[in-house]
Amino acid sequence: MNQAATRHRIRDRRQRVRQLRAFCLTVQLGSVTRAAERLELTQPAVSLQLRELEYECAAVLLERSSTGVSLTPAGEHLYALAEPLVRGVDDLFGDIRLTLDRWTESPSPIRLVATTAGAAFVLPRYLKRFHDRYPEHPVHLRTMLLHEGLQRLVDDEADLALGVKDLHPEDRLVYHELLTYRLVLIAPPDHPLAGRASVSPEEASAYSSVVPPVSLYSNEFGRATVRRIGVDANATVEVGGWGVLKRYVETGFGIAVIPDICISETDRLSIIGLEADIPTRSYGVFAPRDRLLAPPAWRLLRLLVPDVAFADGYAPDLPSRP
Amino acid sequence: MTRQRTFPAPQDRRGDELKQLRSFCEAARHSSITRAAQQMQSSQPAVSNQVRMLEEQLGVRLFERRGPRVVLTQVGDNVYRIAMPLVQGLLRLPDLFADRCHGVDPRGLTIGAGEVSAAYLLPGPLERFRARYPGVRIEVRTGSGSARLDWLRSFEIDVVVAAFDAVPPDIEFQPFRRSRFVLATPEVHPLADRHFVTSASLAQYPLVAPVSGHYARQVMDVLLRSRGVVPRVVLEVEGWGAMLNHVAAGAGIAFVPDVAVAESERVRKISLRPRTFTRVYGAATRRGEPMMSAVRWLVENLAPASPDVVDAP
Repeated sequence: MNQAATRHRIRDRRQRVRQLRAFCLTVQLGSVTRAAERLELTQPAVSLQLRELEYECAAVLLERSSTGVSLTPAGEHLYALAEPLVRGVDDLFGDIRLTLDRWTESPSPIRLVATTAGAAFVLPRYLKRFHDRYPEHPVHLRTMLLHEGLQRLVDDEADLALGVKDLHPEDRLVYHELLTYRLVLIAPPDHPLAGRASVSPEEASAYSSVVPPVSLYSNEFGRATVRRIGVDANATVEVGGWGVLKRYVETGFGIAVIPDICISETDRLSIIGLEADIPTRSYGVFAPRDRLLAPPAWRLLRLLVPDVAFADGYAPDLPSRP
Repeated sequence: MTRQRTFPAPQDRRGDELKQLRSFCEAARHSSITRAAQQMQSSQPAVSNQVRMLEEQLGVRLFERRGPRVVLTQVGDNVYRIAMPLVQGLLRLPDLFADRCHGVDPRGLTIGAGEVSAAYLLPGPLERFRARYPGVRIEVRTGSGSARLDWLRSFEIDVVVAAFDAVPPDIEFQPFRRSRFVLATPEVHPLADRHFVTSASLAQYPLVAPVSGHYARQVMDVLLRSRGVVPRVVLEVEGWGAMLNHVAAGAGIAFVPDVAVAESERVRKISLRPRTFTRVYGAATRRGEPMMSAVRWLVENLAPASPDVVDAP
């Protein structure tokens, strides 16, 4: 092998990372001398690496002046391409554990938003199943009002939103029903109404009651229903959160109207039907219509809605072989 | 042995980082030191040595065992995913630099495409690409969805053009076309003049279907079964073009992507109600990796002059 060929091969790749590192450091520190200090090399050695790099690039990369160095347009291009690579190599060789940690952290969490009823009473059993199956997918659940949640979904700040089917569903969202619920009356076990199968609104409105803040009903429907039944006329206390509200009813502050999905078997409550024409409501999950979900969010949606593949806006989780 | 400096700098003690990383990546990609040596026009002991040096440098074990086949350790797998883009970036640097500075065209453009994309969505854009970048050799490879992503991640192809159901976090996806399934019927058929049909009304008609195992076949079966319809498949055919030929010949009706029948005059295309099985076609590239401007041009010029273009997600 003749000497010219050897020199060429050495120059071609062997020095590439070193040349690029010298170049990037010179740019960052503004002078060849300082770059040489940092690299523990002599200033002529770094100058040589830079000259070789310029020769290989067939371009002037740095303007040398008395005040230091600055990038030529070609140098700007090279710096933009080379800097991430040099940083990547130095991170990898510098502290591989830090690099790997950053890598393994990267799976982004599923951004889930839900109204309070769903977050507290609907989601737990689903998320348990999801976590058992996909322990590697973190879920970030935020509780908020339905219209806020849907806005986040539209703005791509959330992947999925749980809530009551809105009367005016967003065009850009797809809704999948998970369950239906009714509003029922709850009373403490020792209440005069306790044990009754149903009561009329007139009768119920005679007793003191516990009401949630307006916002907890997600929309006008719940609030209007309660007003129609007249339960809120004798409100003794207004408390946020369905779980908290149940505690106040159990304690004896009064009766309350709540969605039946918020009642569990362990509650010490008497559940009474309302003799009023109140339609059942649909509770479910909203997903973006056109945006593609990341695989973790897609898996969660598939778990919530097993036949989701056949709703408009989605393709199934099958090997894509168009 | 190369000349040693009297006081080697820390970076210099590392040896040739690119060579070590490349040896490791080639060995990992081919699960074989020997294949890696062939790829790098080097020898098996040299590649082995580079990998061992890298393991010492990083202080971790990268391969489970040495032998004819090498297997990545868990750490090795993570290092591979970090190192592969660095190696490819360093190897591609001269081309990218020439592209940025002088607009030098790439030698070739390699696309991984799905069947529908390759046959119906790419010809137009590639014609325009050829006019814009004459002399660039174009290769269109077709393969399964996972194979296409593997090619993209290992830098064997520049871009994937296909339908995507979900986008992995390391992939950048730019959608350009949405497609629905429609019903294709022969010109003369009881359903031929309908504006739309529901799945339930199809029970009595013979069907031409994709071969079993094809994703579209699974979709069709589940869709019909969920409507209580037992499909009467009279013919299984591979490939949308072939299926449509059989439909045109009168063998039966078929569920096909609307993009596949757009040009065809020999069959009737009827909407399905409810609208079903939307797929989003787009270009997938490696997230955060610099792209040759010719590749970017293609990605940005895939959209046809059609109203059925989806918004960027």
